[in-house]
Amino acid sequence: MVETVSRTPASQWRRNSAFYISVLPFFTIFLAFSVFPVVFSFYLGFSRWDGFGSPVFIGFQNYVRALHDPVFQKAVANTIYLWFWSTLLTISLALVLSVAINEYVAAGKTYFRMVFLVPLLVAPAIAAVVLRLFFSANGGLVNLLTGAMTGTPSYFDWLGSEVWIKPLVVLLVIWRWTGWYIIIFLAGLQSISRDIYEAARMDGVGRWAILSRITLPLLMPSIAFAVITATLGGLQMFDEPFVLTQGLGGTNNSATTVGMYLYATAFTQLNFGLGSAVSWYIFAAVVVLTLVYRSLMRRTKAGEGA
Amino acid sequence: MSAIELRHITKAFGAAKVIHGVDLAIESGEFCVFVGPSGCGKSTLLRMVAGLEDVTSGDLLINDRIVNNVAPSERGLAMVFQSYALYPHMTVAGNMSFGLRMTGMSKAETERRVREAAAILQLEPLLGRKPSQLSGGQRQRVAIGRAIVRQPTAFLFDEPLSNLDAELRVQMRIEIAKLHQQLGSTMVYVTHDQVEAMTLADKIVVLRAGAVEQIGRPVDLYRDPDNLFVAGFIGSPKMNMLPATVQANNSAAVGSTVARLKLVSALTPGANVTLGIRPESLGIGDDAGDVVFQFDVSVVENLGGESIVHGRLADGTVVRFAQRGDQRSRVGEVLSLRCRADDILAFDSDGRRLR
Amino acid sequence: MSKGILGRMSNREKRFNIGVTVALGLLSLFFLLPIYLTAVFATRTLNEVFQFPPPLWFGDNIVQNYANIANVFPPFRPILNSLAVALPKTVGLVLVSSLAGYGLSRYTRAPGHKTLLVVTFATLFFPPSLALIPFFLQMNAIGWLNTFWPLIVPAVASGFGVVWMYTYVGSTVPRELYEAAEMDGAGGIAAFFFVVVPIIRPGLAALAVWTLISTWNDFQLPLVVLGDGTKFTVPLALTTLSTTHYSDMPAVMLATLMGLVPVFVLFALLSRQFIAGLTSGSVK
Repeated sequence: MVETVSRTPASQWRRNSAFYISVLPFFTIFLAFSVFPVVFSFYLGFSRWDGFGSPVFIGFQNYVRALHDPVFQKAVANTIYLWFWSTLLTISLALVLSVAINEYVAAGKTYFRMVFLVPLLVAPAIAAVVLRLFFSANGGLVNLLTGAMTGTPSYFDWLGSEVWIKPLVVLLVIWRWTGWYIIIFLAGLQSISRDIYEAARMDGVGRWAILSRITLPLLMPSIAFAVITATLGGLQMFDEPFVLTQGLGGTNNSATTVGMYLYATAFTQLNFGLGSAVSWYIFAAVVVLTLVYRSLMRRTKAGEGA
Repeated sequence: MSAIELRHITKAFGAAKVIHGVDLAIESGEFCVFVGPSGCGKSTLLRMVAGLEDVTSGDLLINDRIVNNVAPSERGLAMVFQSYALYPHMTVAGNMSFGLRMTGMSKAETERRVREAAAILQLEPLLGRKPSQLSGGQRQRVAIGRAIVRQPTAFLFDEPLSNLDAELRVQMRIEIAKLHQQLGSTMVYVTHDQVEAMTLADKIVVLRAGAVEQIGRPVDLYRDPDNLFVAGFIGSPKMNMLPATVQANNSAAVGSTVARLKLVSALTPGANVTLGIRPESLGIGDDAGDVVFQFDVSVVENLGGESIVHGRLADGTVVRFAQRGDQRSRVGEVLSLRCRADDILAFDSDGRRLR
Repeated sequence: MSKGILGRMSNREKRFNIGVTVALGLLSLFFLLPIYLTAVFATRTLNEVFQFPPPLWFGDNIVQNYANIANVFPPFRPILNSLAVALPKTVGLVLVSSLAGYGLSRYTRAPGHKTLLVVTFATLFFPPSLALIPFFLQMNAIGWLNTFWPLIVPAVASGFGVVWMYTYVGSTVPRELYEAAEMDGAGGIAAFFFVVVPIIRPGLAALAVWTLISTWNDFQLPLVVLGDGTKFTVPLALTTLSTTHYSDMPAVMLATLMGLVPVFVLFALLSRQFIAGLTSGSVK
């Protein structure tokens, strides 16, 4: 009568099949439209192909060629510049603003929580159009302002300037993204237990010491998340510089990013192999930086424990 | 005919065995309580009966039918969960009828059953409310109502009272006992609280580390435990355990006190045994018995009606005894603590009861 | 309002806080200025816009500006195009993500669960640019270029959406509820629709808002797959308009404003969900 059950019981099977059914749509589509293209891209990176005929295997030539291309070198330098300054300035500003909103604002907290988020609703492409309202050579508000102040009409071409174009891209990023990081930091700040502050106050810790010794360290996970997000976006920056320079990358490629370089090689020069190789460079950079951050985070956590 | 029968049931999660072969028969109409410390496997066992966990080996029978591979909803059981697990988006009536609707029962019959259950549990005025608008005790009753409407072979309760405050817990305990009388259904109830087990059960199953320690009526477990674990687990305050050495003629010595044990079997002199004495068997009056211990009072917990007196025997063993409220011992006092030899239980060095 | 973390405040602290509030208020106006000016310029004539100081209040030239855009393209066409992309994508994405998030959150003991969960999280670090070129070629191969399909069907599988729904379901649906549903005879998929979906509705709304807004703002992918100007979504159409008709700034600004209105309305209606949406990404 007593038989031991060795096969998978029916209930187990029922539960497993519900699991596979639930994740099936996601993984099917993901496999078809993300994994498959990426695998193909790996193959393309080692090929020469203009979209006609069949790809020719050329080994590492694309990877080597990209490295020797001065435009690519410049794009890498631009991308690092834009990523570094936009990340640093956006996150610093958001940090200051969120602490101020959370702790020091006397009235209108809800307003401040919302207002900085509004620019995020504006598509980067649209935001660039709006920014040109201020900085175009002819009739831009900044030129009108300087013209009125100096008395001589000014026609300085901000967006055509090799010096100014990158700071303007950074400005655009700051304008759009500060609100998003404020939300992240406010969520982080609100998750810090009030008891800790009360305890610190009972111990006679001053206002600024509380900020630097308690708030900021406890906010580190949020900051790390913000930096990783900003990096993922920054390394692939495309929309803002593309639209501000009308797709051309600015005078002398002064605002060409790696993302724009990829776009131009693939979709204007139809050099799909080279474009794919560039995309793998981006991927490598993302992986390396993510790993660096994670090890840094682990180290700071270990340091806190000691 | 047993309503539920477990035949050498085991459970393993991967390599980790958590239930080591449980045999048990729960009779129809019986109130059976699984009790044990946390992690003893009592909930896992209940969940296997429910069908929420698979049986690794052995047979599970409900009404003499093997149900190892039958879906939970088709076992004819209903379960009341610790957190009540009410659907927060449905009304009380919706919660109670959901299972019936899923099985395609007619609307009229569903409504009739919900009304009937609501009447039993005095839930009628609440039928249109959402769970968030109910108190803890009301939610508990809805959870029970959801079980009642299914007219199950057996009700399964998984620590149903542990989320309630102390007063409500006592009240609900009484309501569940009344409900059992009223419905006459089989009930299987899991708790870590031995008071709940003692007050509710027809049959208690004491579990430890995935194995059954003892099965029996509450009074039997209390008076006649099979081993040290059951003796210590059942009863509050806990039974006193005194290390003792066997002397000649089945007597045992605790320090200078020697007690003649009432046992059928003969003990080997010199062996180490443990003597178990319930706190309520100890007293200080001359009529309290003829086994006398010297006792230093260290703490007195006054509960009003009675006091629990904590202290040490001459050999350092910690002992508690219960004292009526009007007899007040003082801290630092040295008392002569007495008990009857009949009230002393003896356990061997492996914790097995000596009879 | 609250006394702040530091409890009772001295007068000095109060003055400091008022100063901070005023400074933040000014900064917030600065953040809103570009959008405000866009709206103002959209109602002004070309001449008024190039004056100094520029107009700071609304004018009455909006009808003429609208006519000027209408000369170039039907002004509502990009908005309809964007809706045609964003609505079906949002519905699909929310459904696919919540179903997968539910499965990953509930069935932790199913074989392969851990692998699939790790893969899902890994997709967050997948740079979209990696797939851009082969994706374009793939769309070309199956004849989907210059249609809305590439912006809808593949986009329905969003690692972000799944991860988010996974954490959301995990934190809002107690496990015992699944067991109660199982006792009640609701299997995995039935429990999803009858029990889980009603409970996670706020999360679904948040994901939907977030998806709508980010899809509305998408630029690179539409740029790559849409060639025909009549198919252009709002950002593409505006970029094109601002390049070709830059000199007619009020018209460009009016078109910009029209492209902004739908997201602003959505934000005004559902800002709470939107913010919940942003935050949930950070609690991993």
